[in-house]
Amino acid sequence: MVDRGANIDIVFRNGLKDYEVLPPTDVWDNINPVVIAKRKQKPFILLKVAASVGVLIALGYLIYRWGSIIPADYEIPVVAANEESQPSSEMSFSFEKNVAIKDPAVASGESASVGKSENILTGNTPENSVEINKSTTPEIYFTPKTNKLPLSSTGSFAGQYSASLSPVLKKSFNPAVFEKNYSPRYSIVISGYGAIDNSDKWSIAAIASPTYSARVNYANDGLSKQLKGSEKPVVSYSGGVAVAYLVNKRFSIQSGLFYSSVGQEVEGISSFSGFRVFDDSKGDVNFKVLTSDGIIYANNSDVYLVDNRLKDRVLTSYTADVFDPAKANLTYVSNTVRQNFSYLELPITMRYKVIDKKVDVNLIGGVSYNFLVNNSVYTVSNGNKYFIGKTEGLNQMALSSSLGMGMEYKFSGNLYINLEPTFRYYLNPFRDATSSTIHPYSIGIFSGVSYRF
Amino acid sequence: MSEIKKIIKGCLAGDRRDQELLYRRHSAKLYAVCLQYSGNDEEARDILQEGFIKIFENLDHYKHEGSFEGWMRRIMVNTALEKFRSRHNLYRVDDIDTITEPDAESDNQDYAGLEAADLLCIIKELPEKYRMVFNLYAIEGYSHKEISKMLNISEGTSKSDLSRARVILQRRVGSYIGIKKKVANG
Repeated sequence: MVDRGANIDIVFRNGLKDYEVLPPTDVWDNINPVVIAKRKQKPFILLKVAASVGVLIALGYLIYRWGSIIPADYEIPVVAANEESQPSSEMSFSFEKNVAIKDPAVASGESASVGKSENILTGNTPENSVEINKSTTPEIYFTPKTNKLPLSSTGSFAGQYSASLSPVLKKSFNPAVFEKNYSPRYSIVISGYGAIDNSDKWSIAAIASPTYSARVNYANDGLSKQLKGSEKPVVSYSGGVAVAYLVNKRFSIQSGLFYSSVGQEVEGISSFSGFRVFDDSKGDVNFKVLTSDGIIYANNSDVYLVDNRLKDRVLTSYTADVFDPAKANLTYVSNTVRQNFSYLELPITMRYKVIDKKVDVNLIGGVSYNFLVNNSVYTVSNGNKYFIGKTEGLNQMALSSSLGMGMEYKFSGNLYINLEPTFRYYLNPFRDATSSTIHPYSIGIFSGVSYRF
Repeated sequence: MSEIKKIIKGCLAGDRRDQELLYRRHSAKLYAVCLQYSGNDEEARDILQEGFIKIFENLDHYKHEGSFEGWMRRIMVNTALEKFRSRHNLYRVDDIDTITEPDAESDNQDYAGLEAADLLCIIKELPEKYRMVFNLYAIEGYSHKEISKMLNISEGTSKSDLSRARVILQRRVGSYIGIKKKVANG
């Protein structure tokens, strides 16, 4: 290090120490979009993860469902009537396996007379088959080739069925009872899930709830801790219309359109009105307030804000040492400000009925796309809202997940009363800042009425 | 709270105005650093751009210990070094036998009249590896051991390059002063 202070070194060190050169003007233009784009990448990564989880859940469900369908070669002891000798001109429907139609009336009436003989009702073509299970369970299984149960254009479903029965079975066959109970538009049993009344596959519900919204802030730096200490969760409201499709008796998929709002109350920020006469900033925002949800820009030029608690949350050139609101005779409004964010919500929810009694109990889970439609900051004085501005830097779209339990009680015809305690967690951070780690959550007890059709 | 702390807070909160304010306040000084490490304006511009993006991305790692300007300067220097290393992955370990010590007489010459812009012109004309070593040692204050790790060279090479850089600089400064004097004397 003997030459650390060589003369030439000192000349350059001192000569260049405070040297400044203005960079080309377009450098900032190139930096700005990159910084913004990088900020927005994080939510998209989370969206991709969420979408992947959604796809996995859907695939898992499909695999589970396929796995539980009675396989084509599923063997159950069958006693059936052989229909080879019957006229085949009316055997126009085509069935194989997978969907079974119960016929207790036929079964109970004929089980003794049919005995143990293995007869199969079939049409002329090999694919037409109607099996009557007699030996163990008094059921008839229709097994369609496709998921549709086609009705013949040549006659009624019962008529076709009757035509295919042996004379022994025909004696006890009641077409009216059969048509009512077993025509495809009535009862279909899918692989052990139980019967769904086709006429009740859809439901529409109107539900609403007060929601308690708060946030999880994973940041542990000093600023975040300070801000968290002065912010309070608030109760807001959420509600909308949901349409559900019953895939089977226990499982349904639901979507719809909801309006929800979340927010928080920031304490220790005093607001005063009447500042407009002192505002010489010519359109610039005079006050900015740091909050964990983002920066509040006081667009209302009539408002004066001062931080009474932490002293450095309000960023302004009108600090207490240069401007005194009391001396200026400004009107005090409130000591808190409230941030409110409203979203239009598109949920995709899955419901699974765990208890099928007088009061059904469902497990509910899903994801929602939330589009920011309103962003306002205000304070309340004597029941009146006093507008302050809005919060900058929020994500315009948020993805939330929800988990809940729904109770459903049928009180009249197709009308049901619903009660659904639901927990919702926002998967991507609330705002688009790179360092943001705030994930809001809300708890609500949704109640409403649904109609099945 | 100091103004720079407020600006940093604003940047951390994603405030674009504070980000631009931070850039406007410090870009001129940092651009001079970039010019010092690069051979041309285009490269300096790239270093400034990449460096500022890193500053915004890593602002939450700044602990408010030590000078903020120094922290930003280190990011710029590191960015310049990354660019240098990417071009010299197989940097040759030079033989240290040919170290030329600076001429003591010329090092005692009068440097008066040299302005910062002149110094920057002179330093930019240095061969790249000499410029790097000289900047890191003479301006930033790193040791040869640290420089050897930063540039993936031996300590001997670092000393050798520094020595060569000084010789070149002394000669160029000398001729620069001579030219200036001639111009001044008409």
